[in-house]
Amino acid sequence: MIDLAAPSAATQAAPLPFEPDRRSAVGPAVVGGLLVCALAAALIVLLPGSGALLAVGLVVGTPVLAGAAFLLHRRPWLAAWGAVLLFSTTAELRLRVDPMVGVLKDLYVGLLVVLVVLWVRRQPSALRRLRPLAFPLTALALLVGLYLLDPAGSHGTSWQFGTRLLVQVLALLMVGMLLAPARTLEHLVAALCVVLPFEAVFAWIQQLAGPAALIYRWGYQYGAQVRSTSTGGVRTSGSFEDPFQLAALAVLGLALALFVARRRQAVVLIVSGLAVLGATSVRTALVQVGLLLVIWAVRRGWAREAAALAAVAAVAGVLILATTTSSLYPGAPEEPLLFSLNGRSTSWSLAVDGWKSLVTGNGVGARGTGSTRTSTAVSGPPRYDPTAAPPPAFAGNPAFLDSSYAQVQSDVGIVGSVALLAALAGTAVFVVRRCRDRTDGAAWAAGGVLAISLVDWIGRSSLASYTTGFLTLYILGVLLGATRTQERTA
Amino acid sequence: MIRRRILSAPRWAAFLLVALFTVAGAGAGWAVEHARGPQWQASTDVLVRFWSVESFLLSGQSTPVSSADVADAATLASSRDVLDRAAIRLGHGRTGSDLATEVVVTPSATSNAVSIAATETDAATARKTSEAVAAAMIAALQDRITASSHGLTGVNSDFQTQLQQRVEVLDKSVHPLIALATSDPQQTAPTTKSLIAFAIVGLAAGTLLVVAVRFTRPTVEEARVAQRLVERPAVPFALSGDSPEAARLVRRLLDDRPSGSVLVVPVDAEAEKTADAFADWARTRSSDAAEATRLVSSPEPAGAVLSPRPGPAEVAAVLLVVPRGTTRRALGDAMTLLGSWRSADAVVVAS
Repeated sequence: MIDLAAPSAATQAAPLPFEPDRRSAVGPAVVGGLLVCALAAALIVLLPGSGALLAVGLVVGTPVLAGAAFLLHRRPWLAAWGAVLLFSTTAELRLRVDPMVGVLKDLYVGLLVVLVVLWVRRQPSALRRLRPLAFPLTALALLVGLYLLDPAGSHGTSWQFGTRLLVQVLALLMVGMLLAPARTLEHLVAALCVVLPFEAVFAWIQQLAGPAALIYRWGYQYGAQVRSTSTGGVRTSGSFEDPFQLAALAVLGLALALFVARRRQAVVLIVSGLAVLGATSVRTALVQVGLLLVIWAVRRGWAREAAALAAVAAVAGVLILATTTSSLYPGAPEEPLLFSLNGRSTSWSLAVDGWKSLVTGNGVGARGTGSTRTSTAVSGPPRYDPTAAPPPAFAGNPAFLDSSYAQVQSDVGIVGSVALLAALAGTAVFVVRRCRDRTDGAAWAAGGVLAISLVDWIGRSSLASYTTGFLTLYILGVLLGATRTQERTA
Repeated sequence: MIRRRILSAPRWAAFLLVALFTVAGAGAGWAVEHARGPQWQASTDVLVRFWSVESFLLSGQSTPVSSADVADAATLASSRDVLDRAAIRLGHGRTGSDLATEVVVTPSATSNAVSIAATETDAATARKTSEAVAAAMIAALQDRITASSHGLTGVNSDFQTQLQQRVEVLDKSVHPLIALATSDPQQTAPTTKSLIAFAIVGLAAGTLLVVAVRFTRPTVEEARVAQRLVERPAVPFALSGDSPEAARLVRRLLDDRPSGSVLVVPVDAEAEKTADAFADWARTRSSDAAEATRLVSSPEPAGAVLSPRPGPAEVAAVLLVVPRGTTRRALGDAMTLLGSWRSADAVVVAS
C-alpha cells in the first residue's frame, strides 16, 4: 500500500466574509474629540496671533474630515467624486481661499492609500486580481525604486518634489485599480458629467470676460491661468491652473463618453468636452481626440476604414506640420512646427548630456520632474501684454524638459526609461487582450486613455504632474480595475 | 533542456544575476572614475541683466529679459567664438575646440543667469577656465554692441549721437552681462559617486532583466500555479523528499477508482524521465504488487494520443507530470492535446 499521510484535520467553519463589525465607535470618537479640543486649546495658548483661527479650523475641520473618511471607508466608490471635485478646483480655491488648500490633495491621496490598505485587508482577492498586471506594476515599482535611490543626484528639495509627485500618481493608479473599481467607474462618469459642463461654462465665461478683466480684476496670472496662442488667441483654464490641464480633463471625459458612459451622459460629456477644447485651443488635444475616434471606430468594427483614415490623417498631419511655421511666443521668429515641436526639441536635447548622463541620468529634479519647484515670496503686479510672451513657469522654460519620457530619462537614466516603457508596453498588452471582447467598455476606455496619455507624454510633462497626471492615472487605474472586474464576473 | 534549466533556476540564481549586475555596475563606475584621472570642476555664474541690445540701440526701447534670452546667452557662452577667446586668454596652446569638451553652460531654471562649469585636472585651472569663459562671453557681447553701432553707417548725425549715447549706457551703466562669483572648485573624480550610481543602475538593470525573463516566458514554478491554470488538482513532488501530498493524491486515485490503470503522462518529451521517475517512486511506495502495476508510464501527450489507446474502462485516471520550470504554454498545449482523448485528472509538479 502506498503510504498515506494522516487525513487533514476537519475543516473549521470559515467566518462570513463580510461579518459586520459590531464594535462601538463611541469610545474612539470621544477620545478623538477630546484630543482635538486639547490641540485647539494648545494652539490658542501657544500661538496668540493666529492660534484662535487655527483652533476654530481644527475644531470645525476635523469632524468634517473624519466624517468624510468614514463615509469613504464605508462607500469607497464615492472616492471618485472627491478626486474629480478636489483635483479640478484646487487651483481656484488656492487663489480665492488660501494657498494652503493645495495640501488637501496630498491629504486626500494619503487618505485613499489608507482606505486601499483597509480594503485589501478586508478583501484580499482584490490584490490577487492584479496578477495579470504583475509585470507592468513590477516595472513601475522598479522605477519608483530608482527615483528613491536617485543614482545621479542628491536627495534635496527637487528630489523630494519630483519623487513625491511620481509616487502620488502611481499610488492613485493603484487606488483606482483596487478600490471597488466597477462601482467607482459609474460614479467617476457621473462626477465628470457634473464637473465638465461646469468647467465648459466657466471657461467660456472667462473667454467672454476677456484677458484684461481676467488678469486685472479676476486675479489670474498671464502665462498661468490665462495664456495666448501663437496667433494671439486667448486660452482660458476654467478652475484649473492652466488651459492644458483643463483640456486634458476634457479629453479624458471624451474617452469615457465614447466607451463607458450611458447615452445621456455621453451627450453631456461630448458637448461639454468640445466646448472646453474650444476655449482652451490646445492642438495636442485635437490629435488625442482623433486617436480616440480611431479606437472608437475599431471597436465598432470599422478597423480597415479607421486605419485608412488614420493613415491619411497622419500623412496630412505631417505635411501640414512640415509646411506650418509657428512662433514660440507672440513676436518670436517663425519656425517650422514639425522640426521644433513648438520649441520642445531644443530642450529635449538637455535630457541626455553625454554617455554617463544616458546611463545614470542627471539626477531627480535636475532637469526633469521637480526641477520647477520654486517658491515665490513676493509676486509682481498683474501684467498683460499680448505682444510679449509671459514668463513661463513650467512649459516653455528652456531648462525644463517638456516631455514625460525625457524627464524620466533625465531623472534616472536609461534603465528608468526602459522600466517605464516596459510598464507601458505590459499595460498595453493587457488592455489589447481585454479589448478582444468588444462589449468590455472599460477595457476600450482604458485603451483610449492609455493611447492619449502615450501621445500626451511625448510633448508634455504630464505623467508626474498635478492635476493632469493625478486625474489620468486615477482614471486609468479605475478603468483597468473595472476591466478585470468585468472579466471576473463574466 | 538548457532553456528549461535556465527558466527553472532557483531563486538564488536570480539573486546571483542581480548581484552580478550590481557588481559589474560598481566595477564600471570605479573604472570610469579612475580612467579619467583626477578632475576638478568650478563654475562661474553670469547674470543676464539685459539682452535685447540691438533693439535698444535702434529704438531706445528695452524689454525685460526672458527665459529664451537666457537660453540664447547660454548658447553664446558655448559658441566657438567665445571659447576661442577664452582659449587665447588662457594661453598654453589650447584651442576653443579643446575647451568645448571641458566647459558646460547651463541656463538657470529659476533666475536670469547662466552657469559656466569647467572641468579640469586641477582646481586652479578649473577656476581659471570658467572665469576666462565668463570674461570672454562678456567681451563677445561687448564687441557685438560696438559692431552693431559701427555697422550703422549713413545715418544722420543726431541718430549717430543717440546711438553713441546708448552704447555708452550699455557699456558703462547697464552692463548687460555681469560675472558673479566663481564657486570653490570641487573634485569630481575620482569619487565614490559614480561607483554608487553605476552600482544602482546595475542593480536596477539586473532586476529588470530577471523580471522581464520571468514575465515574458511565464513558467510553472508551483503546484498552485498549475492548479489555477488547468483547473485540476495539482500537487508538488520532490524526488529527494517524502512528497506527502503526491502520495495522498495517488492513494486517492487508486482507492476511488479501483479498476483500470493510472496513466502517468509527461507534459512533453523532455519530461519523460521525470515522469518515469515519478511512476517508479509511486510504485516503490506501494507494498501491494498488483496495485503497483496499475501505475503505468505513458509517452508524452502526442504519443499518448496517437498510440493505440486503451478503452475508457481500462484507464482509471490520467496524471500529468510537469517538471518545475515548464512553460505555461507547454502545460496548456498538453492539456489541450490530451483533452481530445481524455482530460488529465490531476497534475504533479516535479522538482
